[in-house]
Amino acid sequence: MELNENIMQLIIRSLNREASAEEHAELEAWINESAANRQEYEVYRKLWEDSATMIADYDFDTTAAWNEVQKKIQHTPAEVISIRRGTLYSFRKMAVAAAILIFILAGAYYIFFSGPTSEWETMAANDSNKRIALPDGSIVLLRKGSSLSYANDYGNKDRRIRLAGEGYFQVEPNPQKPFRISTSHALVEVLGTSFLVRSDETSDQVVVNTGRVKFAELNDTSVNVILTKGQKAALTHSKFARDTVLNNNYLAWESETLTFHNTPLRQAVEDISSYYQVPIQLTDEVAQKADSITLKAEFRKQTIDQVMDEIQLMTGLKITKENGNFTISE
Amino acid sequence: MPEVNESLYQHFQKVFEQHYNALCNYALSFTKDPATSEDIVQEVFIRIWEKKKEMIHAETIRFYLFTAVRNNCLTQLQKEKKSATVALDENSVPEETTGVAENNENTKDYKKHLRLAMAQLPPKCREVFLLSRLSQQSYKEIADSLDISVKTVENQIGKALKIIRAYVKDQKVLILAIAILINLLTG
Repeated sequence: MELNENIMQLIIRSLNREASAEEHAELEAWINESAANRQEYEVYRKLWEDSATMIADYDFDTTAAWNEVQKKIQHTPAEVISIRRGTLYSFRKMAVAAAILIFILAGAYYIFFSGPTSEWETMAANDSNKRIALPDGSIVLLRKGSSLSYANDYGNKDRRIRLAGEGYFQVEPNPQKPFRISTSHALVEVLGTSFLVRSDETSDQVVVNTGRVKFAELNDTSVNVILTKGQKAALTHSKFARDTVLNNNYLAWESETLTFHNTPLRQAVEDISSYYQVPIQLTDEVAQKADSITLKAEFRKQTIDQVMDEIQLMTGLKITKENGNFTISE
Repeated sequence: MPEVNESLYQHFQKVFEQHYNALCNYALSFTKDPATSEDIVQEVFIRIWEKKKEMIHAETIRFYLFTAVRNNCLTQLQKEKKSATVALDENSVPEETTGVAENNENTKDYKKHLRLAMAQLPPKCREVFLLSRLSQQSYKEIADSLDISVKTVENQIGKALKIIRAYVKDQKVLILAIAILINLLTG
């Protein structure tokens, strides 16, 4: 008897107890149609049950294994969770913290806004990521620890920005007034788009989310690449390396979420390293196969240690931490 | 709170006892070596106790265990530079069983055919079917674990059952035919 696909689907859902009430009724009706149908269903049900015991055919000694495992794990029965006391005390602590915060902000304001810079306005994201609206309505998400300046005549002829660190830009379209970002090595020019610029001492990176971006060397803009949606490039010592954007993890510092969907280990490690700003090494053996091991996971607001533990557990690779640096080995 | 922790430990033991055999059999389908399989499964449990105690009470623990065992087996296979095909042919699974007693020739034949039928399944189909039967997870969980769609899982399960069904049926016919033939020759 050749079953049609629909009946087969009903059967396998019912076997795994996943059929809805309607599906159950439909299957029931089919079974009651004929003795042959009923027999066919019974055959499948039996195969389903028998195959389970058949596959788990080899009998492992669970008791012996448990004794083994018990020996290896440090079972400490009395871990005590300490409870914090003294709300008054912590309130006072909070007041002190607030005062310090204000002091820092005031200090930052003094340094950045009262200095002799008449030509450039500077803004810094000292303690947290910062969202900055530029005079023309363009938006910059500035990563914690980065700073951005814009010219006083911003928007008159063109739109000029200086960036130290990392920022995500959503630029208002305006073909007459190009938007130009300079870092210490690179010049990034756009007409209207959203993209990321990451700049440090040795290299600059641009990741384009939408639109078109011209990414050039600062001193010689004839050395450049044009990037479009889904593309990225890194500029290191006057050389460009292009690649495609695989995921949104370049914005993890804003979303606080790292997402891996069958991401090769090499890429995942790059993303994690970039987000937590921690160096991660791969040993030669791991590096050789880092493209063939893939990860599927989502980390939201987790610590680097939690993320590394998870990766260790999911891949079976060994991860060691020394002086805040991680090494992944076999 | 010692009693809370004690119960976590007891619960951990329960989870271990509940899944150990199935997980080892699952690992065996990759490694084909019982000792390696046990090592991998025990290692996963040890790491959960040491690093991820919060998983023990999680609803997703079964999903987590099977996925971790699979990944660790694949890593192990890569280490040994073997290709990661799931095999359940007769040579891969040691013959002796201490489970259900095989009390008569008929059951023995039926079991043998069932096992042979499973060995005939295409690799992807076998992998899905094996994980389903061993872990008893929902199709959604299996889909997530293998990173395929629920539709694909259902299709592969259906395909596996049809192949096994056809195989077992053929064998019965074959045996019957052989029996009649022998009867005719000797009779």
